Amino acid sequence: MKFIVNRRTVSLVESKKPCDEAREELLTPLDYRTVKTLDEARKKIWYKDWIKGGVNHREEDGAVVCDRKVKEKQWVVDVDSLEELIDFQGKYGEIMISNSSPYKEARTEIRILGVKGI
Amino acid sequence: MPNDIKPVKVSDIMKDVASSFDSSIASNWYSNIVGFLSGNKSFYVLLGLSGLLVFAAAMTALNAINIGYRHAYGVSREVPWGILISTYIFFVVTSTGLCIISSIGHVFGVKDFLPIAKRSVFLSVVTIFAGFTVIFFDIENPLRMALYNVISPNLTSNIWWMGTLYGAYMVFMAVEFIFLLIEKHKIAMYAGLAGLISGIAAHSNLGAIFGMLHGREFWYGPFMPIYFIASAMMSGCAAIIFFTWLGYRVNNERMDKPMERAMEVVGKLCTVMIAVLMFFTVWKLIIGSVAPAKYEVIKSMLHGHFAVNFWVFEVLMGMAAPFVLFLLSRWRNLNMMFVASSLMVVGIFFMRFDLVIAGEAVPSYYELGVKEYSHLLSYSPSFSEIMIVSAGMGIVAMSFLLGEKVFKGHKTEIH
Repeated sequence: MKFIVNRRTVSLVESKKPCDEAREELLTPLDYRTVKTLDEARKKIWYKDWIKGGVNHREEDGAVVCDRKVKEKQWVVDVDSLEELIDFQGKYGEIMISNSSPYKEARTEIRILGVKGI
Repeated sequence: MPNDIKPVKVSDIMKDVASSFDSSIASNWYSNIVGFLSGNKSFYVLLGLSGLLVFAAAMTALNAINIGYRHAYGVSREVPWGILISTYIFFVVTSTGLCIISSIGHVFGVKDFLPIAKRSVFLSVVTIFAGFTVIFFDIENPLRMALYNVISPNLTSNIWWMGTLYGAYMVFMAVEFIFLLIEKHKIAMYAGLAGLISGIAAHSNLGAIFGMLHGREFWYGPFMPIYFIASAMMSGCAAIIFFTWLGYRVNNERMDKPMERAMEVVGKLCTVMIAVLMFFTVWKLIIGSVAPAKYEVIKSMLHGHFAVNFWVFEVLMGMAAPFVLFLLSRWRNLNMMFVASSLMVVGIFFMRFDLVIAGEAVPSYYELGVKEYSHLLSYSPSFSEIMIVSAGMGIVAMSFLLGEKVFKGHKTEIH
């Protein structure tokens, strides 16, 4: 399973690997809007930009959503089992798992809170 | 059948009244506001109204220049700083606060603060511009001031430093925003750092303008620069929560987890800063009560001319109610946090008004026992002053709405 990975602080002057296993990938951001149907979305001021900026517009989970055309670079790691996750935690110290900004390819992030492996 | 009729209980009636009030007034009002802001065509109505407000205010301001400020404004020789100065302070305090809070993410790289940073930088430029607009119409000859600021600087004047540092601050923040837009994060970070340093220097210096006035006992002392910085952080947090909530309503965006987390940490910081300001306010009252001229002002704040401003707006709306609402929200209920921040924005406006006007209320000759100056001085803003204040509000509202549309929700791309 693909996880976005980052640290408590990020470098703003260079794109620095948060951990050895991380690799940079282009991910597809999902653009959710809190209206229930595409018909309702048509009446909104953001509709044209939303249509222009994305593909695969659809209704999902009581909202409308599309895949944004402009992809975003993110650091990701693959963790496929609980053992791998525990090994990762052992190597880097305290970690926090939470929902990330929604991407087509990943929706969960691992934040490394510890100072091990810096 | 009479036996089938249930007796009416007072508690049931009260419950019905309460629920009808809740559904008919409060929730309708809330849903109307939310509906109006929810990305419908009413967006353009709001934009038009704020533009109209700015236009009407600009006409009033030009008229004030034409007829002369002494006729157009409610200020006098004894109370020379009125609502235009307090509104200028309100805007620059908010701007500095937005800069400080945004810098935690965009300058120091703290991940939790990154989602709010871009909107904050944009709003800090907008609010400082609104502040400059308001003070522009308070200065008799602002263009001459800009010229002589450069060709004949008075390095011993706090006001010269204020104009210079805030001018530099506005440029740095604008540069930061431009480089954020074109995703040159390294240059944006250095511009942000320069903006932060000049902003803190400018703002503490603004506090020193008040703190170094020997003639006005209420302001005099080292307290003001510290108070201004703490107060800026509180105002910045409130403004971020207020405008982020509105921004998400305008764009109908679903708030993702990183943004929710950002709102949570800003909310917690806001609560801490309210507590700090409460502490400052309590000590201001206690220490002020032993200085004769300060005591007169404190009395008027506690149970005199400024009592409503102080207790209702400054204490209740500006600090106590938001503090309780933040605690009740547990920093997760965004609607409750929005209500708290709205109350704060209003309360803080009056806080600045009280700070400026109450400080001038005691005549300079008060302690000398001059008969003509044995009472506190009064001041009421004129129509022209109120319109210019509205222009500042209109500029912020219009720029915010345009910003949400043009910059599409101020997304941050740093990872």
